[in-house]
Amino acid sequence: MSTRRILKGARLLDPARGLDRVGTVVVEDGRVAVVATEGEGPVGEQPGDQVEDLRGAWLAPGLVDLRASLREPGFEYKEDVVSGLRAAASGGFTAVCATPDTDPVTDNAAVVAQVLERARAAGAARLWPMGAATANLADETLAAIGELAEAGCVAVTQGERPVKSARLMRRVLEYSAMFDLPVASSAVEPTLGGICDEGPWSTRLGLPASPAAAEVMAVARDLALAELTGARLHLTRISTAGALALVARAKERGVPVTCDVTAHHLTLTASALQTFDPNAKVWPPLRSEADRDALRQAVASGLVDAVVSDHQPHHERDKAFELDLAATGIMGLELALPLVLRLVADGALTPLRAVEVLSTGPRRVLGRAGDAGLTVGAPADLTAIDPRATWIPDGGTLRSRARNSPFVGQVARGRAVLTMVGGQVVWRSEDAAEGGREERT
Amino acid sequence: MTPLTLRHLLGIEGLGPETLTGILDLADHFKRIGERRMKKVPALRGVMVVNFFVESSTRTRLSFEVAEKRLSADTLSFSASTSSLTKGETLIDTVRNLQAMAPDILVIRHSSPGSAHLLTQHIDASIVNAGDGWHEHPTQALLDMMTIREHKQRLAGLKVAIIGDITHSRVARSNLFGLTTLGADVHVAGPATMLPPALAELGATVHRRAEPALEGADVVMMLRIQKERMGRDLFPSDREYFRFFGLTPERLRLAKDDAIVMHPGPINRGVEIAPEVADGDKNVILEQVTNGVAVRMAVLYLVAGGGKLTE
Repeated sequence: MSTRRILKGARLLDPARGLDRVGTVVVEDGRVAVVATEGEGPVGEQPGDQVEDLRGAWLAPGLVDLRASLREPGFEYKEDVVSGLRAAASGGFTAVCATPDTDPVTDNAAVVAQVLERARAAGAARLWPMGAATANLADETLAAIGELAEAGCVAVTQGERPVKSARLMRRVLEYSAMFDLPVASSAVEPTLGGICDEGPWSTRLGLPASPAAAEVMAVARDLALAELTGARLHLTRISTAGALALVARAKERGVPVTCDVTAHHLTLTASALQTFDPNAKVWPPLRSEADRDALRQAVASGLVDAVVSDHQPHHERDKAFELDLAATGIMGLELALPLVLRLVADGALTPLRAVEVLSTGPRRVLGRAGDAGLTVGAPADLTAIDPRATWIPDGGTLRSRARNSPFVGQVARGRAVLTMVGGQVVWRSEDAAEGGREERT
Repeated sequence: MTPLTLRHLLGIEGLGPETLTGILDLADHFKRIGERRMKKVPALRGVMVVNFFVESSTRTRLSFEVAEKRLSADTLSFSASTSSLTKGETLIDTVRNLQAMAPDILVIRHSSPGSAHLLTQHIDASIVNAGDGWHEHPTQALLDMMTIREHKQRLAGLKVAIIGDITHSRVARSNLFGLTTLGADVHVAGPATMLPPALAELGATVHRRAEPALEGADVVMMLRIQKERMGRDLFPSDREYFRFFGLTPERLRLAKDDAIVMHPGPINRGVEIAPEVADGDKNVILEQVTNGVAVRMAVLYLVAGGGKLTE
């Protein structure tokens, strides 16, 4: 008989059931065995039980990141599957959807098998690979989407850009629907690209600019194709109020669409580029305050299904450049949760909604709603969160190989204190305390 | 009055009216030195200045070199071809190499916006931005403001028309920041394809035709049209550009009788400016060049630490 683990005294938050009560969860054989809220009487502790005192913390269904680039195979000097999944675990994620922008591209079963094998060795978060929508991400022909589905991919995507031709995007949607895979699209019209949101900041800083309209038109195209095909479209990294309005209308009409926003687009605006900091160079570009506020509102209202890290780890040698030459992206697996918790502290989100956009929301996007939860019998993928812990993300605390984020070195508030995957503890914040940086307020 | 100090000159944005006026006053002083028979002063003796031009430039580089020589600085100029510096890794490596030689001042011209800011993180020298992409060209704006002030004795309340490709112009940006800070009324005009958004938020009045910008202007500043932009999607031809935005004698009559005509050079005669205007009596283009040396002397002197000027 395996050891029981008793997670005691936490604020239990399960958006799927609307649960928000203090209580205790018992885990046995990798599954949730008991969920007892306060008032239902004590859980009978037995000799040999491992008891985790989680008073003051939240306990939530394991967090899922719908979008992270783990860089393996091909770019292991930036990050690899093991370091990425360990970073994910320390960021509270129990599963990570990895983008296929690897070398070789994740467009065949062999690469999927290789990364899944590496993930098993990591002993950290689960890896849920996303396959390439087009062969070699070359945007010319369909990838072997059926083979990718059978190999374990949870979605397909063209990666950083949308599929260029409407005709090919239509085929990707139709074909993926046969295997019930959502198609994740980062929809911004590429011929209207730039490195700054087009507006006062691009004008002041003299930066090539991409207008919000570039996203609106690409989102409109993808929505029209989703409606045409009836296939599941997931719009990822929505950054503008205009695109959100289109998604809202499409959802009202019953178009099978879901969407996510990044934690950094919820936090930063184009003003972050005023020091020409390459760490604030992301795609889509950081937008106006009005856009950021619209994203926050849409996360609170439920229009946005998930918040993602869009983890884009880079080595310093890719970032230590002039702004226009520096690599694009922020590392975020360990910072997404604190950024969302910041919105809770600001009163913009309820704790239950914050947990939802990071756990049950992304699971629903993938059609895996039943995969975890504070429900008897569910796999014990669980995340305990201390919303008040303050810490400084830096070399002593971060598990990712990368440091490319404007939030590195700044005080972060809130973090995962315990991450459990299939009943195994894959992260415990005392690990960070050994790094000497953790302090509780 | 607190003495004027300047660690770097990265841009005009953010400099207050006292600083701008202080630099211009100092430039007036250096201009008088330039009019003497003995033009050289020992102000920067023993100060090492590196002119690092990663984007080609003849006029600005020469102007800086003359300014440095007149201040008795030790100078070293080199131009890295952009082909050998296509990656900024090389830029930062190059600058780290320069750091090992401990220059006091680094003058940089580069095609990337923010490159001057970037260098401040990698070298101890004072950085003078000699043009960073579309972002800023602070010494150009200072010499323009100096020239205007010489002719009009003030900047506050003047109507200044800036005409041409605003989106890609660091000259326009720096002038907009400086002129509005000093109280001028800045009007910009250019093809709609070359007007960036939100200029009004930066204090400019925006026109899509040249005429309303020129109407009653005290100063007309024509921007150079980059011919390589022509025939793509920004404007159809130089002929069409001239037809709508070229400064002809007729258009110039819309400005005040005593208006001055400026141009950062080099001029495309018959594209942005008619030859008879470029060579006409209202043009102050060569004065701009003279003042460029004085302004750069003032800036170099200030970032070198300033102090008491020895006559």
